[in-house]
Amino acid sequence: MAQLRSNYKKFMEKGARIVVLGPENAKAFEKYWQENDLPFIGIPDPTGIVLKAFGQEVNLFKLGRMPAQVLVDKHGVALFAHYGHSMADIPDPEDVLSSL
Amino acid sequence: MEVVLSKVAIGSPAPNFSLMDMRGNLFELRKETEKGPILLVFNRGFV
Repeated sequence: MAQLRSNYKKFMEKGARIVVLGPENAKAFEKYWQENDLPFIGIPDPTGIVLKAFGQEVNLFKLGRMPAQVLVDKHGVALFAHYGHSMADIPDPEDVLSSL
Repeated sequence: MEVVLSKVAIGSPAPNFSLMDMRGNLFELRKETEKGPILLVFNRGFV
């Protein structure tokens, strides 16, 4: 998320917002946001309902949820989609920005 | 909300969803994308 924070201004300049979903509850999200000074919208998804809707992989042998990013345009269509195969498999923000 | 078990492909419609954000505001993807593109980042967790 540090990379996204560093590139946040570029996303804003292109009219895009960043929304982070994760398994923690709202309180944990708020704490993490304050500690890391994050400008994004945070959405707790502890039951995994959105995770399942978007097909985010959960791999117990790889310690849980795999990273995934989906860029959705004004018409609700996916412009970019990346589903990581490991915890470190995260797209370069510049690759996402180039889709805007 | 529809339940989809397959990944979202580029060019396909993203599933709509409504959830409360961490500050108690209702977030509905379809309504929010009307204001502009949104990058959804599915995080594994903060631990």
